[in-house]
Amino acid sequence: MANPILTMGKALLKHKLHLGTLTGMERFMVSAVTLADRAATFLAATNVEPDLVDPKFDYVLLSQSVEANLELFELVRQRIQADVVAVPYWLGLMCVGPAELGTVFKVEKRRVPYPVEYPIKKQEDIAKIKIPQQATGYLKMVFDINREVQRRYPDSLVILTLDGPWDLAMLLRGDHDLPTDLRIHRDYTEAKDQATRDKIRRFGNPDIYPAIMELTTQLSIRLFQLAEENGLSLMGSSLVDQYAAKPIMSREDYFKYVHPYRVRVWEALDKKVSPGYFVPSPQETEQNLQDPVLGKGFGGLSNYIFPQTPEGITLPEYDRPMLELAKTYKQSYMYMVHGKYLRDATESQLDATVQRICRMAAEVRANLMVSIASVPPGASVEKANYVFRLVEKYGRY
Amino acid sequence: MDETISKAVAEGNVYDMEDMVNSALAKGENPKGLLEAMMAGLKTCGDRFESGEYFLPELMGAGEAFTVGMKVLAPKLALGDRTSQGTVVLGTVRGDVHDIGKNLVGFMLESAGFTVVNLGVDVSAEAFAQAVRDHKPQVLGMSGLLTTTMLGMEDVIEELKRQGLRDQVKVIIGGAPVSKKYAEQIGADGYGNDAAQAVKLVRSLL
Repeated sequence: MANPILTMGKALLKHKLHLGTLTGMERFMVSAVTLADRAATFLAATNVEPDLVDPKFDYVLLSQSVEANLELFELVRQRIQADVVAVPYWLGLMCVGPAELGTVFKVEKRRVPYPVEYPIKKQEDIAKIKIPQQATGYLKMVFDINREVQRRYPDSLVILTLDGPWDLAMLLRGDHDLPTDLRIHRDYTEAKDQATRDKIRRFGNPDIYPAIMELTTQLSIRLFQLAEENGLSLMGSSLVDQYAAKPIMSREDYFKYVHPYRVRVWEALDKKVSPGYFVPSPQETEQNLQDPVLGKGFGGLSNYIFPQTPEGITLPEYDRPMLELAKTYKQSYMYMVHGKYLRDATESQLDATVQRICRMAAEVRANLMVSIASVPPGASVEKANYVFRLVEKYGRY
Repeated sequence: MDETISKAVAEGNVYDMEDMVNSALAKGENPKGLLEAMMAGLKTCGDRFESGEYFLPELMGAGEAFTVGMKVLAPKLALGDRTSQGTVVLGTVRGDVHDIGKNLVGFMLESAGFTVVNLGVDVSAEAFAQAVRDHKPQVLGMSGLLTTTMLGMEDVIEELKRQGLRDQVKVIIGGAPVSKKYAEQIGADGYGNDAAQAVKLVRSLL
């Protein structure tokens, strides 16, 4: 994107002086600081199943070709009528670098690449993982794709999203072993006496957790640095540790055993990355907004992991408090329509859902951003567009 | 019931379990009573998870504490001391390596007295069918976290039909992308929205 500060300034001027209709990007920018003309719409292109756009695209092809990702992104941009379409690559979790650090992924045509083997099996393996000097493999692909998108579409939003220490550790150690490592380390650290600590050592190694987290902290810092070295800006970028949330761990454990590592990454990168933290309630969202680290940057208000009804809608009672928070903290409430709901709901159900949240945003006078979490098999690009058209219809403030 | 043992399991005190169970046995406590105390501990842990008080590490700790206790207790238990509510085979469908939700379901079922055969992740339709032959479960549970991999659930049901096993087992599905509608569509017998519902769902099918 061209200079974001300049773009933001121009968009605000255009909005305040009523100098014409805001473009999608301008609406997105304005809604970050003040009430825009209507609710904004956002889609991460990567969350659209490739073959719903064109059957010629599959994950094998997309994992091999920068150009295929760019071509698919262009098609998504053409066919999806969201204010902002971002995240132009289809590499699953390979996009954050673990494949280059030893995690083995299985790449199949119709399934997003998934990890099948993790490199850290015992403590000695930690030292075998070296901090990369340059970007290679899939990580480089992601950087190349982002850079090319910046060049081809100067008005587009390039959101750099890389993993923080916990999520990287999950990808290098596995989602069974890492929570166990954390528990052993926590119990050891909080044991009241040496006899208990000695007993704990019989059941596991309390040192492996901090050793992994130390490594992944350094890796996380380095991966962001590599992004910069490959021509990407850290402005608006996200440091993601989505698996450090409930029900994987308590908020207390997060603050004791994960947060300090994330703060180190944030500080090492001159506080340029947004260290957002997904939480399952408005109450915890407010706590985050008041936190000196977690309150920084975009994306703090989202229903991403809020409890849902069996049909896949966020519990309705959570929306008004979130909109109130959005108003108070002058941010947008990113309301995600989950892929399951998009797939299963009828048009009239979608109409009622979008109408409800839009009307509520207008009543509260708070910025709303409607996003579709995924466009899965069984849904369609047309259905996604239907939702976005509903936002245009009902989303006027 | 031995409250100390129950509390130790509930709190995931893996480290003292062996000593505690040995000590209780040495004092003459009944093995069956100790097993009931350990089961009660698992249930407490499950309830605390359901209410948002406990999280994954706590659940794993309780499960491990139970396993450690059982190693001591198993040889002392008489036939019939450990009555199972039924057998449930669980697995995450092919192409999907998400383990956590399925393991939570397994934990909840075990704590409610079911025998759980956990096939792990990335399980093929053929492996599910083989497990039905081998373990003769009352219920087969499939998990999937991805909108793409959940489609493999239908393949499993088809494979059960192909091998003439479908009538021998109730099939339930769960995971973020699946729904009651999808369960009906593919001919599953039940759908659970989260791990906490699993026990109720399985009981309702037996």
